[in-house]
Amino acid sequence: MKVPTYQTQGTITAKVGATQMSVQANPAALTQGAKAFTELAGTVAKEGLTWYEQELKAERASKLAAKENELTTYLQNQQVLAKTTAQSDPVKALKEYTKNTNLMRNKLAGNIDDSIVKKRFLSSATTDILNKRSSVLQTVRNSQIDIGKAHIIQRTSQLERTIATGNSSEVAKAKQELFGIEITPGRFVGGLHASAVSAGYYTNVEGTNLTLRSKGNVDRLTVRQEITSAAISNKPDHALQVLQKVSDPKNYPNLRPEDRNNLIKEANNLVGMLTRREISLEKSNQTKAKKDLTIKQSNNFDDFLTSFIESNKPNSTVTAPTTNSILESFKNAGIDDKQFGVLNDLILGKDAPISDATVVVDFYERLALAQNNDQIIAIMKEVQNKIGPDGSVMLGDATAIIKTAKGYLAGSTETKETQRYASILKTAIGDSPGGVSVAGFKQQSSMGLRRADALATYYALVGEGLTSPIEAYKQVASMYADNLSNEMGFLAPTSMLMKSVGKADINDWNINDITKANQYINDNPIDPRTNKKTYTPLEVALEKETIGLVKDFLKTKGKLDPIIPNNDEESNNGEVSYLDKLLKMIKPNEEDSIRNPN
Amino acid sequence: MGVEVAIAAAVIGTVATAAGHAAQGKGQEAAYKYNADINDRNAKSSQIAADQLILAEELQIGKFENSYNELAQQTEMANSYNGWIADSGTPLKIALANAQEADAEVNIKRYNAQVGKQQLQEQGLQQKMQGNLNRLYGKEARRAGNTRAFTSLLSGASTGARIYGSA
Repeated sequence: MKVPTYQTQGTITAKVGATQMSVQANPAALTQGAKAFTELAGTVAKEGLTWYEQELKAERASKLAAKENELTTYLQNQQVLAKTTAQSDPVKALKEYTKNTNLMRNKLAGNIDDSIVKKRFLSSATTDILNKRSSVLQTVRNSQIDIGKAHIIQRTSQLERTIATGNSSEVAKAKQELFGIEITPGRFVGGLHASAVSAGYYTNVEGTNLTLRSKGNVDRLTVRQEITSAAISNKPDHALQVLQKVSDPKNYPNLRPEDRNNLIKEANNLVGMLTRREISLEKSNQTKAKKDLTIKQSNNFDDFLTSFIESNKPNSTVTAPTTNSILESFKNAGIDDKQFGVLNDLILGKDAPISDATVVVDFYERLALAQNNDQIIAIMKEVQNKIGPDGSVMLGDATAIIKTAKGYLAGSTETKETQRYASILKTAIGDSPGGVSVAGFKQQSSMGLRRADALATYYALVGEGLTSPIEAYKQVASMYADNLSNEMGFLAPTSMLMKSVGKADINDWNINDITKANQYINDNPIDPRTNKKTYTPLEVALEKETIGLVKDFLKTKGKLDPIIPNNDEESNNGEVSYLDKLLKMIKPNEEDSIRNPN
Repeated sequence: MGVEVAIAAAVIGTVATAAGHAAQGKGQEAAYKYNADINDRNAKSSQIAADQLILAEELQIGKFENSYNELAQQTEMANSYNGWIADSGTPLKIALANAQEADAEVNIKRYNAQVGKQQLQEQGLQQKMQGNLNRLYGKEARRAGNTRAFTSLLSGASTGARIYGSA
């Protein structure tokens, strides 16, 4: 029998009861929500910050721009102001610009709340101010250069003039200052323009040109000085020498061609002018000599006339001119032939029968309006032509006119007064100051005639020299006023005459009053106020003339009956004036003796 | 007006970002803690499996020894039936050979059980270590979240300041 043996049957199992868990939590997956929220919040924060950034930028940019604009406007104004100030004081302009702009910058910055904006504004403002300051500096520099140049130009001009016109020491000094020191012939060191070049006012080329120009100016001024000297000398030869000198190119080598041409023209013109002046002067001397002779003759003639009148006055000690004396004067050219003729006629007793008031007034008027002495002398000549038997101005009136004319020649106060009150009188009586346009004494019916009578009376009173212009004016104006009230064509009698008649209104006069008036004039009583005769000889003549006119006036009104007998032949044929009629009516008196000495 | 609204949006966004980062860190910490618990559980399981393996092998060895004793008695009886003397000669050699085989068997079983136990223990240790590591991760995740939150706040403030300074 087989014996059983044991073989191992059991196996070791690898399995165990417990198992390993493979579950694992994923942290990333578990926090996805938080992560998403974080991302959202991050985006919100990012966008918020971006928005904030944009808004802040915009707000700050706006604030900054506003302040910068304000500053820019202020800077522009300051720049203009600085430019203006720099023209007179460049340093002050720069100082004021710096001071004012800094003050304004700080003021504007002080108004900014945002520190960043303030910082940026201060930064940009400083830059702007500096930038503008560069411009202002340039302006200031330009102004300084301009002022410096102006000084140099002014000094150059002074030195050029000194070199051209100064004495030797002044010239040497001025040359040294202007052109420098000549170290070798033609080579200079220093000088005004060289210094200006060193100072930066000019370039080297400009400096050289200015020096050359100065040399040219010196030559030009020298020549001009010579031309002036020649002009002062009044010698054409002198001017001709200058012309020849300047025409030679060897002389004045630095003279610019255009200047030389101009100076040649000037010198040439001067030669012509001096030559013409020389000729003209010669002519003038001749004219003057002729004029002097005329004045001398006129004076002599007047002296003869005056002597003639004075000698004919009662108790006069003056010797009357004789035919021999006037002939001697004529031979020595003391009087001309015309004057000789007039004087000779007077000596022979030939005077004008009566003065034409129109002519007399015309002479006075023309004298008053004369523009120069030549015109006055010409009028005096004309007066002389009106004297004599065929003339229209009697000797006494002619003497008065000539006396007035001499007063105008001498420009005396009296003649000015005469002229002044004549003008006032003309205004008072309604005449224009330009002159009187009337027919004369012989047509006594118009307003013009009254005016002519008034003016003739005024000039006669003043010309006599016994009545002042103002007194003559008062008298004539008063008479003229009376005349108007009586509708007469002549001046009323004087108030004293009216009193002597005893009737204030001429319309009430009759033939007896006329006789009474004539008697009063002839008597010419002593005025107790002046202890002199009431009327001067001239006034006597004028009053007699007036009485004649009153008589004619009353006659036309039919108030004179019967008519006073009048045997005067001239009067009957109507060829003479009422003054003549009047004179014929009265007995010869002092006036008559003057007019008709023989 | 615009600037104020923008500032409010930026501030709210920044704070929310910071809160999000903090929440994210906290969530990650929780996940890592959970994973660490799993690892702990697996480590315990490995230890139980190792103990179980030894116990089972000892039971198998006891059972094998009983079977071998039964085999040894049957062999002795067979020898006796055949008239062989079991204490000498071949029967003895056979009995010794069987006994040697039985001892070897027990030793093999014990050895294998010990190896399995060690493997399971190593596995549990690894799980334990992984759990520790996950807890560490969790703490770091939370710290990172907090740091990111702070960074967000700082970044927001910094950006705001930069914008204020540069806009």
